Amino acid sequence: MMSEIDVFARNRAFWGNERQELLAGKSLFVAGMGALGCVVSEILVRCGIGEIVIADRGIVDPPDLNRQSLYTLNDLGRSKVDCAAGRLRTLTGQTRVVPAKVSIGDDDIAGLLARCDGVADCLDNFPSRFALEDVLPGGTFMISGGLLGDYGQLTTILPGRTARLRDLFTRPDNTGKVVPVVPPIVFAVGSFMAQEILDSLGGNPQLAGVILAVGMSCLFTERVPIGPS
Amino acid sequence: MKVQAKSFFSVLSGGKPVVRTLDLQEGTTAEEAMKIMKVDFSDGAIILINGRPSNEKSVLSEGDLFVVMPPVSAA
Repeated sequence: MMSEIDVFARNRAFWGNERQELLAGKSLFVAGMGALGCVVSEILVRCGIGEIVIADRGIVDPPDLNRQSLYTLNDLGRSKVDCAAGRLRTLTGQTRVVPAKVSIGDDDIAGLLARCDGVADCLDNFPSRFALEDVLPGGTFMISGGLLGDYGQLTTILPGRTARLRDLFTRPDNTGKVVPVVPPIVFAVGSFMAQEILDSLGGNPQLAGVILAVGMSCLFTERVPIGPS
Repeated sequence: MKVQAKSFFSVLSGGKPVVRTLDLQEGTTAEEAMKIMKVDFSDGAIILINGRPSNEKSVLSEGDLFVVMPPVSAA
């Protein structure tokens, strides 16, 4: 196995040993290993996070392959978290990867959440996102991202300090609809989410009380402030 | 009354967010304003009035900043 210092030499050269060591002691819960879950997980592993818990009960289907970057044709029909865990473990060899075949909203995930410093909400429907938000431990941040077409939005939820997803999405009823999503927005929003996770793990979230809107067609980003409910 | 309105729904068809000043009657709701703006909110919307999370029945007031965004949830 390549030594840890070789793997992260370019990270250390930019953000220094202290931040690298801080990351090595952190744990992240990734809810949903679809498009955003794949990108967020890969970036955080390459950054050097100590542990990542990846949660999804699904299997890899052909329509996933346009945007879910940890899977290949060889993975069709296999468990997403098993495939992703195998891939993530080979990237640096420095992150403990914990696959969890759970359904958010149906299964008890309290024990998994309790071990994590933060949560990446990469789910694909509002009922599951709300269920996740409902069991978020106090003091744990949640970065929530969503996509449609070549557009995306993300925000940071701090329980008791920011507006909740339930406050923002007052009539969410799109469960079950097949929605279009193209690859460029996946990597753009996934990268912004990963950066926000890094900042939040360091205690400096940029998107608490802010929605970051990202559009690929016009290459625009815009911060939209959210006040208290 | 005049309300500053901004819609992000236009980004779903390749555009940038649209900003306009609406001249509305007193008591106009967010739902009525979105219809005037020709926003398709059949799947819902994030509605912010002066940054405050609101809903379709919320009533707008003179000088409000009214922002509507699509409720995107895919991944």
